[in-house]
Amino acid sequence: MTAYLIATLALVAISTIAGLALNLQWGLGGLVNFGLFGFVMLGAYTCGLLNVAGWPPLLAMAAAILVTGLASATVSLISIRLSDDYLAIVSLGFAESLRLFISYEEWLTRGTLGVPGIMRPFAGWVPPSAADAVFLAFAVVCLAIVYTVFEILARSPFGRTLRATREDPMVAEALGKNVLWLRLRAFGLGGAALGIAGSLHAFNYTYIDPTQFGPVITAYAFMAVIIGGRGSNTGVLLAGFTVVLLLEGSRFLIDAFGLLDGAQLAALRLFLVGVALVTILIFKPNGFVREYRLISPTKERS
Amino acid sequence: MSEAPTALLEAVGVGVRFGGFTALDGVDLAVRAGSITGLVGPNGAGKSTLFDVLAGRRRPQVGAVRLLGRPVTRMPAHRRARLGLTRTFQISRELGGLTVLENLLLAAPRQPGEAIWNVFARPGLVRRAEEAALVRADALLARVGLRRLADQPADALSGGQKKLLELCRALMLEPRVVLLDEPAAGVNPVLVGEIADFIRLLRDEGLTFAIVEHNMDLIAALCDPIYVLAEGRVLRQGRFAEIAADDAVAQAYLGGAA
Repeated sequence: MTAYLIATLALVAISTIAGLALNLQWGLGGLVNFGLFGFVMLGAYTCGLLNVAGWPPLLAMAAAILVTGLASATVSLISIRLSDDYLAIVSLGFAESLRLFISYEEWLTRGTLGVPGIMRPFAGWVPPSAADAVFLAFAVVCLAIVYTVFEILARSPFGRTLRATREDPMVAEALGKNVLWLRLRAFGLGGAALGIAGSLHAFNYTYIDPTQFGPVITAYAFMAVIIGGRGSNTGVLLAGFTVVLLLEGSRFLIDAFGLLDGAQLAALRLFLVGVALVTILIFKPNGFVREYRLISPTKERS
Repeated sequence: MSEAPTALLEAVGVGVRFGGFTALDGVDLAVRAGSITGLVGPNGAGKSTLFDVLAGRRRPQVGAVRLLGRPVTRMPAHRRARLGLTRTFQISRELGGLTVLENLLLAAPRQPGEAIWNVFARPGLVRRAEEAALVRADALLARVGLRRLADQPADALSGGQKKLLELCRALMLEPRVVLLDEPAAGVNPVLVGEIADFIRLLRDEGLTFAIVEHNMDLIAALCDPIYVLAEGRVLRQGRFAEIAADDAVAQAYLGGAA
């Protein structure tokens, strides 16, 4: 049970980092990233391939963050000038192309056979029995760093300007803001966080193959941002736990239904998760937490 | 024209075509320093298109735009804003998800905290810029009576308050020239008077305006000179009394063949 809990919490940490990345890009910046799973995949493969080629895990991870961030910025540059809808399509197109590339370019990626033998950070220093717990701690530290950095940014003038471009890019322009450059940085920085999520994914399973990465990763990230409250990092944190709690917790709930077979149970489980999420949104239509708003410090007036 | 040297913002022979339709056809316009230049004309005359060209939202196919004597025809809107030219919009475009105060702080120029690096490496610099902007924003809000609404989201304001907010937000930029697109549209008459007084006061303090407006009382009270646009051309220009007495202007407004 402890092992299961540790594994589940590691998944929470990874998917919440992806949620935080989407919250920066879409929650605050209004940039729809349907191809999120592709950037996670790029991060995982960059980290995994470099690692099995002999790079130390942390160095491979740093490279993955850099590569994914740059790839994000580049992809956004292609489409950001057009409009939000196009960015959604282009990012999805990028993700699907990448999946095909990784599936067939075996000389580089080993194709559908996958990449086994990825080493976790600090793996040599800890006894195998504690390996999962140490990895979980590492993932939580990564989550804490991403959360802190993004929360500081959300409250900074940068975050405020980003929210302004989400609300109305023409106004931001008329006020002297370079909308393109702002969006580029937001999308690139979100991509860097997706590189972290991808690296952790690779470390977590120590084996990656193309089938692990699908649009459902994007869907979970959107769930986390919508349930958490668009624009709120704290909300994403809460929602990340909620979503995985529902997905995993419902496994146990299902044991109570003795009448149904496995396939029916699996379908019913996802159905119940959907019902739970919709119920949350009926009672909290704007999600758990509202995005940060500045409250004027000169409160002594009234 | 002798006024050319003091024109802060100028359009010279500006032409804009949308496919086969000519929206602007050789428009010359000069917004002199310290003036409140009016721009009137029937719907479809090209007023908003001209504003878009002046602000940098749209690039004209022919002609040039000069700002503070510099050619800016190909300069994007955000860089013109940094030179001191900003605008408001016909339908108020408050940033509804931001508070009233945040709307103003956003417009403060030269905020180092818009660079990610400074947010982490030079937090003191960012905070000082933010505090200075807060003082200015607070004073502006007090001036137009929006101070008690500072922490409200901007989409909770009334139509007239949104117009005031937009004006204040433009002022936060420390502009030289402000383009106002229908500042009185959808505003009750009392508030229209207040907005007019405020604009005049700001002009007296040294700001320059160009205004598109259908409310002739406001135009008559504020603007000199006034440009009358019709079918993409400047039909007349002059003081309100001259314009009002002009047959061609009356015809353009009444839909006759001008």
